[in-house]
Amino acid sequence: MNARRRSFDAFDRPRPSTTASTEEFGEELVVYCERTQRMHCLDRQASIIWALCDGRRDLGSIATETTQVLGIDSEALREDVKKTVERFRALGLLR
Amino acid sequence: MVPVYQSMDLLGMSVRVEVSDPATALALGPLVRCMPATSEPTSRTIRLLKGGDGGPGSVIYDGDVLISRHLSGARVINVFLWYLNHLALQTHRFAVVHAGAIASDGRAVILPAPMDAGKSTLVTALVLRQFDYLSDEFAAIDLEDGRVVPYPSAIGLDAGSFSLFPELKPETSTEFYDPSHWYIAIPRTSCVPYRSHTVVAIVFPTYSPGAKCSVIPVDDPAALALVANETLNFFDLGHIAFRAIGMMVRRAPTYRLLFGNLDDACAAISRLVEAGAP
Repeated sequence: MNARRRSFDAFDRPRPSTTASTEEFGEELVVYCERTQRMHCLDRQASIIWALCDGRRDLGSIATETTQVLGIDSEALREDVKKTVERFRALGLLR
Repeated sequence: MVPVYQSMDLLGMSVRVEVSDPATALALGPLVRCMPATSEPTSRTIRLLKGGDGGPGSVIYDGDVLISRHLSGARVINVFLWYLNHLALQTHRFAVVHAGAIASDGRAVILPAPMDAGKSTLVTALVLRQFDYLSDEFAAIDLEDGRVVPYPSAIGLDAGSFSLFPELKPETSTEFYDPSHWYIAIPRTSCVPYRSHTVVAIVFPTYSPGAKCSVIPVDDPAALALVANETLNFFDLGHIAFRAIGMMVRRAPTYRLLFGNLDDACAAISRLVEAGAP
């Protein structure tokens, strides 16, 4: 399975990479990846999505629960969730 | 051989320092006298040998390993202190932030900054105003609890700051006087017993001539990134350092301090320390 196809797999249950650590500051998170030696600051929406990437939820569940937490149900938000998870993966934060 | 320091605690490493030449020992001793002692068995012995390379210069050995040679005058002191810092960075107990650090009543302020930001000048001014001296160079953050411990090596001042502290001019008659860089021996009264301190504020100082003093809050995620960027062994320690710095940042408010006047900057830091009182 190549990386691109993997990133679009709806049945995928993303979970944090073992090299990713997080520190929480109110509604924001900072994620540090030991492998890439980079730090990423996540805003509220991205922090919610990150917390849902726990290896138990697939993309659809993550999108649904994000819309519930934010109180917004729109196709645009669902698309945002997908893009955010893809971004996490591209940054090496997920496995 | 003159034992300048029997057993120095260099962020967890026990180091003995020996010097062959009494004049060098006399110059060096005061610069490291506030470094904490340890009862742990010596793991490294650093020796400075005058004439050890057959010439008039000095050589520095770490055990049997030659570190530097052909050192004369002030370079002996420069290279020796640089090497101590180099060894300290091998620690696995502390995240070593490139920062000044001072304290009052056990409450510490750390001043992370790149070179030439005015960190040493500010630390010197704060120590002269009766703050306890923790460090001019390294804020050593305990990986267990995010508190800071002293690393009280000598303060190093560059020529641009000399006119601010003429009373601190080192003895010029010795061969060790460097007209471009002063090492200031810390008065014993400014050194605190070796223990950890709560960090009550993290301040990123920047000196700008003529600037009005301003203290601007920094949000926590940005502060974490800024401190990590100044943590010299961050990538060696990885997520352990990330957690320790995160712990410290979560507890201590963080500010950018722009200053053009030392009195104003010291007053601003005094207020931050008072605000951090329990």
